[in-house]
Amino acid sequence: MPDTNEVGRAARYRLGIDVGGTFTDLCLFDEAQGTLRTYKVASTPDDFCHGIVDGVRALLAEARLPAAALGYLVHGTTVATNAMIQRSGGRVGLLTTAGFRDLLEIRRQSRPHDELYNLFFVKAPTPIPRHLRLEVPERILADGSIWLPLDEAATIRAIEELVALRVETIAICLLNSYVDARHEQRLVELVREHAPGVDVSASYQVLREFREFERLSTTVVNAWLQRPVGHYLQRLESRIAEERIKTAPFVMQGNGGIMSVEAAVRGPVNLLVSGPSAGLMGAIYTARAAGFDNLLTFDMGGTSTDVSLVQRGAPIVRTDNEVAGYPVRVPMLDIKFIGAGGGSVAWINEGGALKVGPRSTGAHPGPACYAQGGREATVTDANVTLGFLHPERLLGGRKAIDRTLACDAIMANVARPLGLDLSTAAHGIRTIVNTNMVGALKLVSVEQGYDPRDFALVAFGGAGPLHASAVARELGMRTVIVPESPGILCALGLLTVDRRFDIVRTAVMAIREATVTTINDIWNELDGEATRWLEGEGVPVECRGLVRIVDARYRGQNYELALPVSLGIWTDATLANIERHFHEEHERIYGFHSEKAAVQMVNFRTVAQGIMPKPSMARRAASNSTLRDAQIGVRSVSWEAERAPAATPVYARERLAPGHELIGPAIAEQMDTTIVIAPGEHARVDDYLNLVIDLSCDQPARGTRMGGA
Amino acid sequence: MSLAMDPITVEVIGNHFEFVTQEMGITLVKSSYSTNIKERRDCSAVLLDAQGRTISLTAYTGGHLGSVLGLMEEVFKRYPLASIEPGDVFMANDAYSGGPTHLPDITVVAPFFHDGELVAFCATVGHHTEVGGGLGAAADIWGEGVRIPPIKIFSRGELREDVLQLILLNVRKPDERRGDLEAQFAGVRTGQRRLRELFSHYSRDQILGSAAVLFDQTEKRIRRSIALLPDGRYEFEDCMDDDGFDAQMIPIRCAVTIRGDEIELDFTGTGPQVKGGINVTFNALRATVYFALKSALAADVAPNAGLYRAIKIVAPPGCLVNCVEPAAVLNRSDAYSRVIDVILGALAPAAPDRVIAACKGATTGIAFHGWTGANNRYWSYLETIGGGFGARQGLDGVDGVQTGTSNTSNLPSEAMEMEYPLFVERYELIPDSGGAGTYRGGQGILRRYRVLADGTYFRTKGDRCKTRPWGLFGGAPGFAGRFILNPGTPGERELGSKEFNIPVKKGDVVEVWTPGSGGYGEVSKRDPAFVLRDVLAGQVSREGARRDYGVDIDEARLKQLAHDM
Repeated sequence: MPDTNEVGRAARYRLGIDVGGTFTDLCLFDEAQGTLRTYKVASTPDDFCHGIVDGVRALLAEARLPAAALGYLVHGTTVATNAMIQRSGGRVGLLTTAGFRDLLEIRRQSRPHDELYNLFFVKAPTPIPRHLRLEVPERILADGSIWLPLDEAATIRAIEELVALRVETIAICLLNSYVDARHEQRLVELVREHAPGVDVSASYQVLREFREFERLSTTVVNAWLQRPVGHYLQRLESRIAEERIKTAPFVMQGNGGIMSVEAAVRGPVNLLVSGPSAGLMGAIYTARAAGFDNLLTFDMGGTSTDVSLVQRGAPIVRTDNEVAGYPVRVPMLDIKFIGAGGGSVAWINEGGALKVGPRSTGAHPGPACYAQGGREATVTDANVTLGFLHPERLLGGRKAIDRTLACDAIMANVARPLGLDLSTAAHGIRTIVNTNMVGALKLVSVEQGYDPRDFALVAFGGAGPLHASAVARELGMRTVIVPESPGILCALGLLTVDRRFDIVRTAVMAIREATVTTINDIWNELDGEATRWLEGEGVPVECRGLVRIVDARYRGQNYELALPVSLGIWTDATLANIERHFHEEHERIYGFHSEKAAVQMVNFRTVAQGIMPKPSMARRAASNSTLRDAQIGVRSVSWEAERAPAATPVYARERLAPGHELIGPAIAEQMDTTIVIAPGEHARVDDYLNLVIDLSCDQPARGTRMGGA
Repeated sequence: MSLAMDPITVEVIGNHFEFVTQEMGITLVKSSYSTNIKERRDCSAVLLDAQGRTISLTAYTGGHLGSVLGLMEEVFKRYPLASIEPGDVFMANDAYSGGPTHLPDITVVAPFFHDGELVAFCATVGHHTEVGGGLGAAADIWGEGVRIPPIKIFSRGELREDVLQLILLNVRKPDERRGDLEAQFAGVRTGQRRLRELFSHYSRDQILGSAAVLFDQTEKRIRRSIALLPDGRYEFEDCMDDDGFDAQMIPIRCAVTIRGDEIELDFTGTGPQVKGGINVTFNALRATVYFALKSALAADVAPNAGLYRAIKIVAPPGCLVNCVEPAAVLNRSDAYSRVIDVILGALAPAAPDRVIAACKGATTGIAFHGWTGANNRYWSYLETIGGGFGARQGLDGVDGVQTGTSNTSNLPSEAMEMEYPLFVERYELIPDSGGAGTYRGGQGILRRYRVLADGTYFRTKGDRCKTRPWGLFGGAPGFAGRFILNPGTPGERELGSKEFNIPVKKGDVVEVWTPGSGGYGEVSKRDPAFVLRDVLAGQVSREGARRDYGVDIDEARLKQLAHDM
């Protein structure tokens, strides 16, 4: 493996490649100029490598660069997430403590909350069928004592049986292995010895944390993803090498960091939900340039929307994650998913109520206005009907639109059945979908104990900037930020993150009874492992960083709060500080604390960080072009159901330059989205080409300023 | 409200009603202290109109669908609407004079005023782990804990600290109770705040008018589903094992009458109320009926007051499912698990594609307690265990899961072992415990505990140990439940489902077998490939395949299959 850091630092050109189900987005950053160049090609789901190579070639050709000019490459892939959703993991066998082979199926024995009334509910099928889950006689207790020694002969028989049953990977999870991993370690050795060629995933390596089902599930998912992710990444590496690209790719993780291909192949579970994480990191990066760091991010696409909260520039990391119905307890950025987007269908239920979503038309047949045979009314059709979206074309002209079909679909499916006129019905669809977004953003804020009014809304995704101002207004927010390239924020985000690896160890102890030597031993072990990981990744010493976190709770509680804690050798004073800090955080987040209750430390976490160079975007010079130069037309837009449509200027986003100010009503169009600036709102283009909409100055639109810059 | 409401405003305001209760729920869960509310989410948040009708409800467990059903009636009896003032907050838990269905469910409710008019109430319900009472089996409601009728816990914004002290003095963990109550108060305050915002965006008439339209929409949907069922009278009966005091079985009978878009459930013929705490109050019965009918007829309908209008319930006072004071009610969930089975059983001929065979039919569980350590610290631990979820048309039942209104997670064994002198030795699905049928019933769970300290006691909790969970349309019954002390040893003892204070010593083993569930459809119509699959997975034994399905599977074939699948 080339020393990617050396190359990375010397590199003038850095490339982020984000592969989604429909498009592969590329984002090339020129370090010398401080500028971005973006490119979009169709993804190739049969083999995503094709699309990547096509995109890289086209982008390099456009930029007139040789492949060797690329010094840094980060890849965001949905391969792991897709394998989970499509249930197409490898053939995995499980070795577990006698008596627990059904744990994977019984889980925590509860039904998902939203299935409470569903008499026809089914459990998510397990990644490992029951006949490939074998038990080994052994039992370690919670205090680390051995109740039943490992029966090695029986273990070897079980391994041989799994091999005979053609397993490619063996997952290992034994009870209480987080306390004492001896038996698991021995199992790994025995598998290596008796089943060479079979991959292994042991729980003490994947997630050394208590709660057996969650640890088991995370380990099994990791084992299940090892083959498909490994094959994909190895193929990608060789295709990239064939293109004479001299740098090895890094891979994006769900925790907001990146890692080498080698590490990703060992721990593919870390790749889950990496796409939305990259988008969030991109949003943080661009908003920071615009001068904002308390953010609500709003990524509205065709079928779904992702929202999250960012406080002082930091995303929230959570560990109680679930992917495709399976608990995956590695840290991931906290991103809420809403099943509604531009393609969501408006319909009337049996009770006569107008609903929008959760069903979506998808790419085919798509909204009625796409003229691909769709007859249902979607959110996009409402936007076309009202004039928010161009009546004839979208995606920079690549997609033809038929407004008549949009109007017909809304008349037939919504307006006529409810006895409404067309404009009221279309506004109704928009209002309902906006209300759902408002609800989700409120919940994200309330859950963290914050008020949305103290945050700026970062809008991206194809439909985010179309709805952002209405949503922000309803929430009482004052600012909306639309990044320069809201459609490729994930690809940009890939270039802004550091290397990261999370290591955890459960050791439950009351703070007042804890001895610092025991704790320092734990930190030594964790920090040592983290440092070894950084060494293995080739991170130079000056770029290495460690962060420590302790999950703590009141004794008797069964949920924990994550607290950042100090590095170095701990003393009794450190413990006293943590106790005080815990009370404060508990008070801040949950609204109460109890000095009388004993505080317990539960999980000890070390985060290994390899600081990567960040793109530093150049400020754009103010242009001497006027706003009128950016105007490409005027169209009739219905801003309110009760009022006549207003002639609204339409601008080309790419012609908007720093210093330009727009006063609503206005529309700005760019290849990947359309931005709505409502009457009375002010928008200005900042030095980084972000469009910052100010909702607080509710001045009447002044036609005289429209043409001037 | 003669105002014609436009459907878009109704939908938007309806969504806001849901956000109000969701945010109340989040505030409650977040700021609560106990695991029961915080992690198991055994709680709910409700928005009601001035007449006490439910507008919106966020219930994390099905049993709370009815926790506020009788509450407002009881509040109004004592505090006429005109006497309620801003800043008042009411609190109650009594099953006979307060509305909730057993004493651990404490309800908090606060009025919301707009322009001086009382227009709504916000309520939160929390299941408190401990509300006082005796340690043994209570024979009446006084033994089950402190009883709180609807009282004003806040009067014009002032907490009545003396009243709260009176209550807290009667419970074993006053700090925890206080913490959870504070969370409930915070929950209703969030509701009031959000309502204030809503009333500043929309007019009073728009908001109250929308609630009225939403009631109508829900009623219309449930009536439409009822109308699809053939008219007729459908009867069903099942029996509870016993009440823990007497060995006698207690019948639960239900006759469902469908006439057009009306449905009536008549429980006449159900046995009289009993001494042990498995009695069900009328409010609890209503909640159970609504849960069963919503599940079977319109699972996604909004749970508001419109749901209740189309449904009539008859139960003679003094029977098991309409008990009168002072019947004990703590373990009512064992009986209402069975009430759900009985309702679905009765509906089966009318709606064969919407019901399921009998589930495990009890909230089977076990509770340990003892004194450990140098300072002889008292500890207690209760858990309920999943079991079989009935087979359906076109689908096997679900194995090892919580059923009916109960949906609590278990505590991981690793967490249990850390806290208590116990560990779990086996946690597995029981082969052949799902009733045979075209669609197989779900399997029960075997959970085996090893005791690590002398001086430990336990009690059994559950039912369906004397009868088996029945199948439908030719499906066979699943296994009954069992409680076994020291299985496979000379001291082996089979226990009843409601035994208290059984002493155990270090090294003893207790096994709980939760009931499976019934199969659906004729056994002969089961696809042999499914039988084969079940045998491969060990869910059906080879012997079971031969006995229950008449399918012979030889060893070689099984080996080949294991290799291929």
